[in-house]
Amino acid sequence: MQARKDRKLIFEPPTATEHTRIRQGLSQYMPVEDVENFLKGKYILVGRGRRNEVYLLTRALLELYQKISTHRHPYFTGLYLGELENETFEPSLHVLRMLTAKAKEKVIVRTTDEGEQHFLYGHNLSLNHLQDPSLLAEMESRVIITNQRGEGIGFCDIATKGTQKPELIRLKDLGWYLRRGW
Amino acid sequence: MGKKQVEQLAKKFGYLEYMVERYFALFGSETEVFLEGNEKKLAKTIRCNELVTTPVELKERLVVKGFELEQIQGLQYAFQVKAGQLPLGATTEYLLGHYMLQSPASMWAVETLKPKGIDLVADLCAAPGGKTTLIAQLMENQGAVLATDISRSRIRALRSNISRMQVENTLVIRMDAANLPEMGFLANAVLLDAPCTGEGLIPLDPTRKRSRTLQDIVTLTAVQRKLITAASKLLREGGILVYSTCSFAPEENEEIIDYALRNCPLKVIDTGLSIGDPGFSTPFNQSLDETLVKARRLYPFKHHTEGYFICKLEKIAN
Repeated sequence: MQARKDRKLIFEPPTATEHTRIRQGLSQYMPVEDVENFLKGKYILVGRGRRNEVYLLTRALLELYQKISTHRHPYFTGLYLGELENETFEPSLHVLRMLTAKAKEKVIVRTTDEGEQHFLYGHNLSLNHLQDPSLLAEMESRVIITNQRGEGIGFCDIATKGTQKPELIRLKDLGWYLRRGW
Repeated sequence: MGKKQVEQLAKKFGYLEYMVERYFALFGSETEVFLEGNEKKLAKTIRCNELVTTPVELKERLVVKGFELEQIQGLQYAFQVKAGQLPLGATTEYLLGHYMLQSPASMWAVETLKPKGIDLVADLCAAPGGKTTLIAQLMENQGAVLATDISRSRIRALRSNISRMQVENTLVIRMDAANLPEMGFLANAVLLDAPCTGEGLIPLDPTRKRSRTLQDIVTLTAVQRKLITAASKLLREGGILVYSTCSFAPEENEEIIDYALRNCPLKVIDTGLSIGDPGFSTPFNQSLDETLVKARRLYPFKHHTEGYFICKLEKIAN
């Protein structure tokens, strides 16, 4: 088996376009003013490698980063906000809890207990996994999946929206920490 | 203890003979009790992540799922798991970062550091992140933690745990911590949980009864000396260094501290722990620094945790 290559990231501040994409990406899930409050007083860095990873740093972490960055680039730092892919920004599991707490009503889809387990095993969701499937018609296409307690457990795309049998396509779920986390 | 008795005990408990000889030199008449203690399974323990939930809420949720939890004395956020049908590493609460599977010994090491309110803590050899995430928890996600590890595979686990446990104040670098002083910054506190032979893990991994040689100890002490020297250089004057291992071997513990006291501007201070036996100042008939009795040793047969060594040091003027 071929050994996985080391991930080497070069950290830089985001470009103006990337700044906009990050804000747009977050505001899919939470109100714009909450996005601004969340980012206020913090610093964004993009770790550029095979992927463009976006990190949010406090002042204390930024100062540490500035001290060490002349010698080494970090492997990981602060809050991993997500990833810039092509023209879009995809939030990470690290930021899911915060996003769920601030999320707009129309992006929250609650599962049944059975649906929660099904989803955490890495599967897509169908209507019978949802607590109230009738709400799906009012939802935006990109949603946060929560359990019965309202805790964020992942992200989905609503596919075939508007048809008789919409399906929620899994983008990310917390089960990743078991399947791939190590 | 005669050679025959050593052979008998080594055979009875499945150890290499040199290990039993050494244990006898350290523990004398308690040797057999010590060896019996290593045969007992350790209780599973978890640490509540107070960045996400409270110990009360966590207990309530896990009890509903059939777990029986008992709070560990002296660690308000830690529980011994006395019963439960589900695997602890696969509950929704685990995935949500509500708890970490962690031994009390490693929690005591972080408690000794007292990281709350400290601006910059360095955690050397940090993966897979049990101690790093507890440091962040006690710092309430404030300040900054510099976490390093040299292992490519283990650092992925560190990243995963930081993310799962909602830690936001760490900067992780994959590197040999011995090279950290070249970066020219100083920390207020350093945790060095040094790579070791892991003899203290025998209750969890009995293969270690036969898989470690004296040469392994020699090899690791060279690494440990290098790391403690680097840790001392990283510290500001008045800064705190906690050195820990999961080994019983004085060569990896008291002798490393003795080496550091002779070569670095450090002094041993009280750990503040109410648990543990004093460190050895005269192991194997050697005469080491007398202040080593302030260090703490934890044993499976006495403290019902893995074998552990914790020593707290303060950096003094050069």
